Amino acid sequence: MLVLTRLRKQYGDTVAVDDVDLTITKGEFFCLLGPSGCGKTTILRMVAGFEKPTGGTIMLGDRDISQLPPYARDVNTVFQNYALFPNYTVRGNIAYGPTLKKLPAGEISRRVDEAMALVGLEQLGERMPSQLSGGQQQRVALARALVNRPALLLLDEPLSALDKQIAERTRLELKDLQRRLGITFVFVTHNQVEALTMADRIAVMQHGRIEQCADPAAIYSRPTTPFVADFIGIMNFITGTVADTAGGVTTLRLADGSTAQYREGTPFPVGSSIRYGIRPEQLRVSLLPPKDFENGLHGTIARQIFMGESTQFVIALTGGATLDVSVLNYLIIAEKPLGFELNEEIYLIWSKSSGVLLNG
Amino acid sequence: MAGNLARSNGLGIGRGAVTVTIAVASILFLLLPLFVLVFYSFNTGKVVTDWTGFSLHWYGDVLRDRALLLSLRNSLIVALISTVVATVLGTMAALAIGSSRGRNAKLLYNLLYVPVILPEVIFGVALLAIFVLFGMTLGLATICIAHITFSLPFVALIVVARVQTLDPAQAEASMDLGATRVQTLYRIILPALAPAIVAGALFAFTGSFDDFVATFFTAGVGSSTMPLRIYALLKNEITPLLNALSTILVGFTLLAVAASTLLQGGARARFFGKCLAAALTGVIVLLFAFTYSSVDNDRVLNIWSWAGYIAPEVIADFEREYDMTVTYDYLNDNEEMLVKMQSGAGGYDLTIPTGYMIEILKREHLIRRIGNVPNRALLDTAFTNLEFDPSGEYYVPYTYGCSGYGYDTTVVTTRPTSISVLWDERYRGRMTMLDDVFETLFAGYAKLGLDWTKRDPADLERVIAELRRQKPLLRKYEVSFYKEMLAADEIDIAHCWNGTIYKLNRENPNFDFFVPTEGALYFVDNFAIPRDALHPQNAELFINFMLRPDVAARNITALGYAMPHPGAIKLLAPDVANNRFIFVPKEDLAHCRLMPDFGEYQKTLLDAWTRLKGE
Amino acid sequence: MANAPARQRSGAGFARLLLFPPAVWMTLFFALPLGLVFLYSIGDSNTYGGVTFGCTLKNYRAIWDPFFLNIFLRSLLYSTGITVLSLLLAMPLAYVMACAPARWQKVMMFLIIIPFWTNFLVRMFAFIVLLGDNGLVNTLLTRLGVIGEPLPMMNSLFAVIVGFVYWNLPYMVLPLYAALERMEVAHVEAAMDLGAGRFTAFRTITLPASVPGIIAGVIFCFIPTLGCFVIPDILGGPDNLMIGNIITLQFLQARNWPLGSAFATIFITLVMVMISLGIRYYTPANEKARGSVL
Repeated sequence: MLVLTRLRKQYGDTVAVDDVDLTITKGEFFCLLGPSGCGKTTILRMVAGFEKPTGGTIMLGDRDISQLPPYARDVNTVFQNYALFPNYTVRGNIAYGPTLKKLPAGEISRRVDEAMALVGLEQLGERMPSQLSGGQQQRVALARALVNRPALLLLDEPLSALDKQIAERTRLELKDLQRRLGITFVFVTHNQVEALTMADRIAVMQHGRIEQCADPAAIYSRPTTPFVADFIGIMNFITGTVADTAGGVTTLRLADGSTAQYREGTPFPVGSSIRYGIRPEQLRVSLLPPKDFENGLHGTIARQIFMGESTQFVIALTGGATLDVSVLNYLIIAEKPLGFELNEEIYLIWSKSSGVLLNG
Repeated sequence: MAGNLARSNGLGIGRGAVTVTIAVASILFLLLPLFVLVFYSFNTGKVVTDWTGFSLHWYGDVLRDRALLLSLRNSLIVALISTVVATVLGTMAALAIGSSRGRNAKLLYNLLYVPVILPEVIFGVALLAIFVLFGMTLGLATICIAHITFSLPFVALIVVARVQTLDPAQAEASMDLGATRVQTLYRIILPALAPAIVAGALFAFTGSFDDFVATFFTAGVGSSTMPLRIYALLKNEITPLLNALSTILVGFTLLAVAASTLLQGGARARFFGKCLAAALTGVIVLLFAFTYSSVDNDRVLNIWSWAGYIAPEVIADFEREYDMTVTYDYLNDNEEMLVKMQSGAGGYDLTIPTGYMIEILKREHLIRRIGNVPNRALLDTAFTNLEFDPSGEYYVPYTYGCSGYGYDTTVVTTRPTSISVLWDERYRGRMTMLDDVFETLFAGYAKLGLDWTKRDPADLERVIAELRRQKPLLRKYEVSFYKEMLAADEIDIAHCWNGTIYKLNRENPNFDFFVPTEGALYFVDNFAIPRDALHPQNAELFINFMLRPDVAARNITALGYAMPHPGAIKLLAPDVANNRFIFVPKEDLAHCRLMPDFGEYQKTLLDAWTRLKGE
Repeated sequence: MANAPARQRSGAGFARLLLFPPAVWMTLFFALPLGLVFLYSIGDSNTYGGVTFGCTLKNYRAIWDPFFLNIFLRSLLYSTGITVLSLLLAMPLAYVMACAPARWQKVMMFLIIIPFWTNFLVRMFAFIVLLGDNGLVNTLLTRLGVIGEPLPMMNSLFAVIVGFVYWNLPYMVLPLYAALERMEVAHVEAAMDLGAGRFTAFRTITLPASVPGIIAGVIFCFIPTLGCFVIPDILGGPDNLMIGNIITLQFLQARNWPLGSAFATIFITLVMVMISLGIRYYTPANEKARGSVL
């Protein structure tokens, strides 16, 4: 559907997008995620046609669109601050595209009504953009783009200007809308929650390159680079070396001399130093030793942070390192979450299938 | 964004008593001259500082003055065309400059300031030179070019500021939705710029409508705009006619603003707004219809002369009798004529230069022989072969007169005979000398009894010293408004020409005129036909008509200028024929000299004069 | 605005296309004529005003003369004083205007612009009626018994200053107003919140914010005042000649175009210097971080 090949953008000596290859399939909700300045918006602007690539091609279907002007591309954009035209009413804004396509008046009117109904704006057609709330403006921007029935819809941080609650509601609505219409969405954001909740696939970017491209669960649970691991959620790292890889089970010798096992396979040969990444919620604190499908490390509770629905423990391992653990407060005994005391000696336990092995 | 500070009402910012007082006073200061103008437009009398009763007759005079209305029409045409073009080009420039970030854009932006603040004299002269170089005929087109050129940067500067505040995402959104660059321009960018464009257009319009200096240099035949007409009228005399005209224009503007305000209101207001707008448009259409004339190109005569120098009724008679259309453009200055004729800004058929200028024009081959004027024979032969053209072929004398001193007999009670009264301490600050290099220098020579044709540098030095001694006693050097200053009792003695005192004396017999025994300059103004005249035969026809005794007599009576025409003088009423302000007595004229052409020496005189004035 | 440090202008070609017609126009009818003025300034004048082209500096040497320099200095002095005075009057007006409710802003703007619809010369003549010995001001003051005999106001430096301030005031007010109107009131509120009094808030916050307007206003007033010849002509006395009058004299009476052109060339240079100085110390705040609308 959309294929970027060795796409490159340079501003003088600054490389904004560095030879990016990317394929987005039809009907997909695709998310470009990364910090400011990582090149995600530049890719979006190149796809929309606002910037000319320095190199590479952009194929939409079987057509190279990289040199086409924006108005000749079957692509529409929802802008970060919506860029509604202040001199047109809501209706006028939405009818802008169809009018330019010189569709018959009846057809335009029908499509505009349809688009307004789609985003729930039926009552506001004659308002001017300045009379709308942020959420309403965002809907107008969406309707204005969708009414053209583009092959590809680009969304440039469309939720960043909204209140948290409205943004959360809109996330779900956007996802529903995309599923119903079957239009390919490319969504740019720096907000991992937005990406994880909406996207079918996510590409995490840094320094103009794609670090990892996968579905949300894989991105979260099996990040392939330290950057991705760190950028999304919180990740504990335990350093060690590969001691054995027999039978598809990787045995690791950890820094404090203890061992741990990983059952999901690994490309690392014996002897290579690695980091074992594990998320706080995948860890469990227990007074009992681990079962055989679990790894276990010995430590003490250095800190407890009560967070309402959960408690965050900081565990000091015997070897000296500290790890974060997040546990749901399914049990509170005598005002103490899970009944643990500070400095109590415990086991830190996790499944041998959890986590990810990364290059040390 | 509008009125950000205005939101701070609670803090009372900008509401301090002193601040508000200064602000209100400033606005009143700006409006005060306007109040004065409007008030005196309803005055019966002519003297602007004297209220003599309510009357609307000046308004009638404005509506009857076809030439004035024609100039108003010209001003409207020029203002409309130049506003449209300057706005379009200025907006284009603003878009290009405002949307680029490079060094070049910044340079261009800075350059926009230059035309806005450059003195117009420089610009006007430069533009005249370039029109000559391009061989363009001066007229409405050249005026438009001038106005567009000084309005364009103004529009651009105003619009650029707005362009810089535009959100680029707007334009991107538009193109994203399928609009091309041009469609985006029309549908998104221009509407967003509209307030700035309108402001720029308004500036361009008022600037063009009120422009004098640049127009002065670029106007040609039949293209006098209103400011030019007003300037020439003012040089002749200050008349409440102009107050009436100004009041009409201000009134029209107020109504136009009212109409546009109404049009933005509710349904009822919109209805009245539409009616008002239609009525105002109707007035403009009427103006155009009234000043429209279909012209047969051969039955045309273009005259270029001083304001009020040929009686309008005489011109009307000529038009009727010979089935011709006469255009009478005003001339401001002999030197202006020379500059424009040298530039090849031809097209005029007849002009009335002063004697010394005839000599220059003839030497520069800028005027032609005047052939077929049989009535020439009726003129006083003392005037037909004067020293500036002994052949008498290049000119036909029209009027003559002399300089002297007008004075208020209630203050200067004994009639002076000597020029030394102008050095009299008693009248300190109550006298003016003519702001004219030759007249005033000659007065200095006369005072000291020296002969300026000797061109002796030592003499010139003594003369300047003498005039320098006089300068602190003077109110100012004044060449145009001494009549009004005398009438308003601002001064008691004015160095002036006899014709002025004739007019003044009719209104107030307390004013008298004397020619000093030391001498003065006398002038002869003459018909001359420019080399580039398109209708020289018509000009000759007109001169001949003017010299018909009955016509000449009417003209003298109407204007109060003497013509060397014995046959006409016989037909005059005795009070005109014997009026010593029109026909300066022979013994006075005997003291008078004609101004010679000094050639290169003129520069020396001018330099001395400039230094005297500038010290 | 994530990753666009210097957004490329994909509309640069279009911008250049738009710039072409006005650029050609200004070159033909502004730059070219000024070039001619420069050529004149190094040429020689004939007796009757024609210009012989040449390459001489004698016109510039002629200007290097205590007499002209004196007038020039005097003009600079007048012009400076008049500009400052205009600024002092314009500032309160612009400030009150920017702080007024939107409706009043419109009305005040209209009142400031309405004099533009009357001929400039005619308005100047109204001052004769106002300031003359028997003019309205003197009559009023005499009737009120404030003064015994009329103040000699006409044809003096005073009248020239009044005329110029009158002429300059709208050109000073409009840019000031434009700058103040764009100001964020929050800044003033913040200053007051932090303990600044009304005047301190004005001096430390509002005044700096209006600097672009002040610079534009000063440019619009100072140089035209230097070059104007009509006002000193009508309202001035025998001692109030300014450099504008001298330039005009060269063109319209002395038939000395080369000398006039030399003055003009110096004048244009001065204009350029003023503008570049003005622009150098002032970059519009919104100039950065903006993409292109084309």
